[in-house]
Amino acid sequence: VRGANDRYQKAVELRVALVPQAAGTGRVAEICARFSGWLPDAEREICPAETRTSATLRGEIDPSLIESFAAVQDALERSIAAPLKAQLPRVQALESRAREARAESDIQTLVDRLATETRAYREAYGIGLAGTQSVALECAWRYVSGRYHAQANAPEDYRVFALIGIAALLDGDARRAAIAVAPSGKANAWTRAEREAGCGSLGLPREAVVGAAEIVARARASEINAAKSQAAQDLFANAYWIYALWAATGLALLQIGRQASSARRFLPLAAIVWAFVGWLTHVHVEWVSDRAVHTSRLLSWGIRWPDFFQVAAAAAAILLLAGFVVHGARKPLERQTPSSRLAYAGFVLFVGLGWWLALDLSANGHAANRFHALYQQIYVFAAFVLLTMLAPLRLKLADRLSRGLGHFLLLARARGTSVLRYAVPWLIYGGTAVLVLAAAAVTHQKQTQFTSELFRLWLILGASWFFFIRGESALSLPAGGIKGALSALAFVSPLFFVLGVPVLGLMLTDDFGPLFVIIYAASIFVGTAFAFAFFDRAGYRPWLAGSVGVLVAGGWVYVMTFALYSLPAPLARIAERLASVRTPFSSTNDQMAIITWFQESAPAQGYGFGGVPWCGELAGATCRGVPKQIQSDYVFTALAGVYGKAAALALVALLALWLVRVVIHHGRASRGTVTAESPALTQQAWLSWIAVCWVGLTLAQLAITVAGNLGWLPLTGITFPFASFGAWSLLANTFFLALAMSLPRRA
Amino acid sequence: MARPRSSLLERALGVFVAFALVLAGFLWAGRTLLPRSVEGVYLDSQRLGGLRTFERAIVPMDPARDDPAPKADWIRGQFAFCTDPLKDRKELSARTKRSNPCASTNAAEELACYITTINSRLADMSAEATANRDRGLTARHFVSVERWIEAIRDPQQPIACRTAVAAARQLAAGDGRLLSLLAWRDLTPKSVVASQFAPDQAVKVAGRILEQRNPWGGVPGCIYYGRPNGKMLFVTDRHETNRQACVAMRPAGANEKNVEGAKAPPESLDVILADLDNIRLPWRDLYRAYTEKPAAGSGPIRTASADAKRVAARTVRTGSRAQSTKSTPASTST
Repeated sequence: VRGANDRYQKAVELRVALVPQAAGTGRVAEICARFSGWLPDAEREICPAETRTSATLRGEIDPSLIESFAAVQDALERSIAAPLKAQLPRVQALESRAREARAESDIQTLVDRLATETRAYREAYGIGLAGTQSVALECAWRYVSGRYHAQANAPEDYRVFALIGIAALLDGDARRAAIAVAPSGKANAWTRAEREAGCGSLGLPREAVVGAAEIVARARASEINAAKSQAAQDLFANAYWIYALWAATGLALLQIGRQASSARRFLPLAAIVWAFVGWLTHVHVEWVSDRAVHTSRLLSWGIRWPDFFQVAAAAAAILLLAGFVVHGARKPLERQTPSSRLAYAGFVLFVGLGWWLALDLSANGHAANRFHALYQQIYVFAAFVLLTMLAPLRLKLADRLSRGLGHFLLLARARGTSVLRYAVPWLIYGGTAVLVLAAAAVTHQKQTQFTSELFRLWLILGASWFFFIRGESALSLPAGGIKGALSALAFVSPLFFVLGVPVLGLMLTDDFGPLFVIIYAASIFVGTAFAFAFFDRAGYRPWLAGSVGVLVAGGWVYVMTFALYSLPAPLARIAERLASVRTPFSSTNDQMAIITWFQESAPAQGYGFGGVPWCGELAGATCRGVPKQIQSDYVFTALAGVYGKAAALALVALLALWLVRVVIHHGRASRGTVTAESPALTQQAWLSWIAVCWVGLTLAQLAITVAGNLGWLPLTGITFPFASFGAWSLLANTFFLALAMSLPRRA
Repeated sequence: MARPRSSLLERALGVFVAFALVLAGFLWAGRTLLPRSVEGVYLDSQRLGGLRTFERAIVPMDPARDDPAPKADWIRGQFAFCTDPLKDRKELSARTKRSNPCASTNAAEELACYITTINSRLADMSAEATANRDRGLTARHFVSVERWIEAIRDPQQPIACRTAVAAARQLAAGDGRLLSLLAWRDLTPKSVVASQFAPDQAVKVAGRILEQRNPWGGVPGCIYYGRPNGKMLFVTDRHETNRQACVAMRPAGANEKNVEGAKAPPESLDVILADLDNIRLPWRDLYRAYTEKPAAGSGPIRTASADAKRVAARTVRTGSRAQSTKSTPASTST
């Protein structure tokens, strides 16, 4: 992609290989853990929360501590100077040649070029044009260590505070360094020696310390940034064949998995193949997101490329051998056939399209998103693995799930006498709802996206289970009259329980986007359930039930939309989103205005990949163009930029048709009811309902995200199925696609 | 033989698909019934309203009477009228602490910090008057919390307390950097003051400081002066955001290394070339008339190519020639 290399090359050039003595952070936490008891309550705020609780942490300040810090500072200086020192002999040789042979102007050009090459490095680490030491770091160290030594006879709290300043500088914690250094007054001035060393040009000491802490932070992050940038450059060069290899491998494994082979043999085989492909295509599993804490946790567990794939391949090989050695009495898996020839092709197309967008946005969009294509590489790879490994297991999974839910229904049925007869079902259903909400509350702390996918999973499984279990029994409901109406309402009531839990959960977690999807998608399920309960039986015309279903669903959507725009918004954020639809150019949220501008400015045929001015037409230090979350919430807008609005709408229609196409043949394979004919057919019936409900919900999601992008509905922060950046949405959709894309061959 | 009744699953799928079509039709109808115009400028009216409360709140200070560092408890009492009261936070994220030096779990303390920061910057601005009479404020100003609350509660144009606090945060950000961008009575010509300022108004918040222009609306043109075979300077917008384009569009024969932005263009240049701004700046009518596709049935101003979205009009001293180029700004060399 055009421009990709410029963005990443700088990070590669700024790499600092820290020597072991300089590595690691956590010095502030260490000081606080040992000495924070000396600090007054107000000053203890500077410490990390987990180390400021106790006032008894009053260790004796060991003089060797400052020496160990001096060693760290020295190691940092050496690490930062090393790349320049490595070039020094070359520069000196060229300079002496230039002195000896004055006529050789080419040599001077070479010297100048070397200086230009190192300019960015010198600027980033505060190194002057002459020399290799970081003046900023040297001055900051002189100041903070000088302050500490000057307070040798001062009370402990002064010395601890000074030590925290030193530790913050060495950790690269600019915020704490700024607090720990004297904010004003005489203390915030350079000594004569420091001024003579050129420290005065760095501003006041406080500014210099903050700047130096930022330099240390930059140096500490540089290694991983350089590695990511290098990987991103490799990815841009090889993305085409990487994706082609994944797609071909996925197709081959899907075909093998659909044969009547043993899961015990197929799964290890697939794992070996994917481990080899992951190793070959450099899937850096350790960079699963832009949070350094995730990476460090994975690294501490030894999960990194290539080790992870080597271990996975070895483990899978052992399991495969065991699969050949152990001959169980189990039956092989049911032979399967694709539900549609386009199912896998559509998956490859839309997932690939999303990844290609991520690549373009990484190369040319917001700098903060420059590694998103790299992260998405892991998610896309995981989606291929999930799809191929789950597809052969789908009937078994349905069997286990349906048995579990069957047991649950038995447990929750009304039994006993008097009060218990009524109380037990309520308690069990209520308890289940509470458990689900509690699980959502826990996941919401760490992974908001996962919470919404959890509720989506609940809704799809719940609605499909409702239709699977209750659908056919609707035919036996009494028709007409009050008794019939009441029976029909009682028939529909479990669906409201299924819908109510995610609605409540998303309201509690203030997750407006998925709530919006569920409220709209509920219309489909409610409409269908009413059609079955009231009109889908003998005595009514065959088309009546369908028409009533569509009318009820349409009425539901109308009422919900009317309520959304007419009633006072319960939350300020919802009001803000609504205002941005009504008055996009004067509301508080500017995103609607920006994406409208972008869509309007895009040529009819689009800018094309690599040519989209994501950051606007004016070059600047900051990206003032499309919103940062374009790769997740505004994929339709991004597609309109790349291909033009008409083509983007055509892609949406194609996605909708593909989703319907994936499930349309399920009706031939199953009637969607429990049957005594074969267990596989019953399992398939349950799976077919899951597939149909997933498609219904996904169509609603697609409609809402497109409507939000076009300014017809509030922007809700929901994803574009299969194409949006992010792990959970892609993996959840892949999970359901894996269940939907195959059918038992016998069926 | 009668066709067997389709299964429940098939009928459900039929309903889903039919409904998806209805939903698409519903959304399309909504779009058609609610047409919306695309404007060239985004301006957050709520934010502007919040900032404008300070037009009444910032007044000359009487050091004997006024307190430039109000206490948190007093502020909390003053804001007791709010329907959306000042809300304390349970904890602060590291990011908030990093980006906002005033951030506090106590909302009143945080607001007091904003006001103190603003007052401190106002004091600096009055101190600047000693060094540079044209840039500093002649009197020391401060934020009168009582007058600020009057402005917030103004029955003609009430402002939510949340919005007012956000405005204070914005004014205090970067040690009150935004304050120097406001129009100050002391620094404005008397004729403008007479027409634009209320009698007791010390400062005016112009909408322009919050305006956000369409980033894809076009690139301002560059005005070049100097000799093509010598040093060549160009004048463009204040931030020189299109510097690369100006260098790339340099007059024929000019060396790239000799072309640079003019830090202090001659004052007369603005006057001489003011008329060119109409075609040079993307937000002016003539620029838009040339670059935007005319609505059906409207006037005939067109670029040479129907698809061309930009026009470059290069004027040279000996005459003028127009040339249409896609994606290039209007540029002028003299």
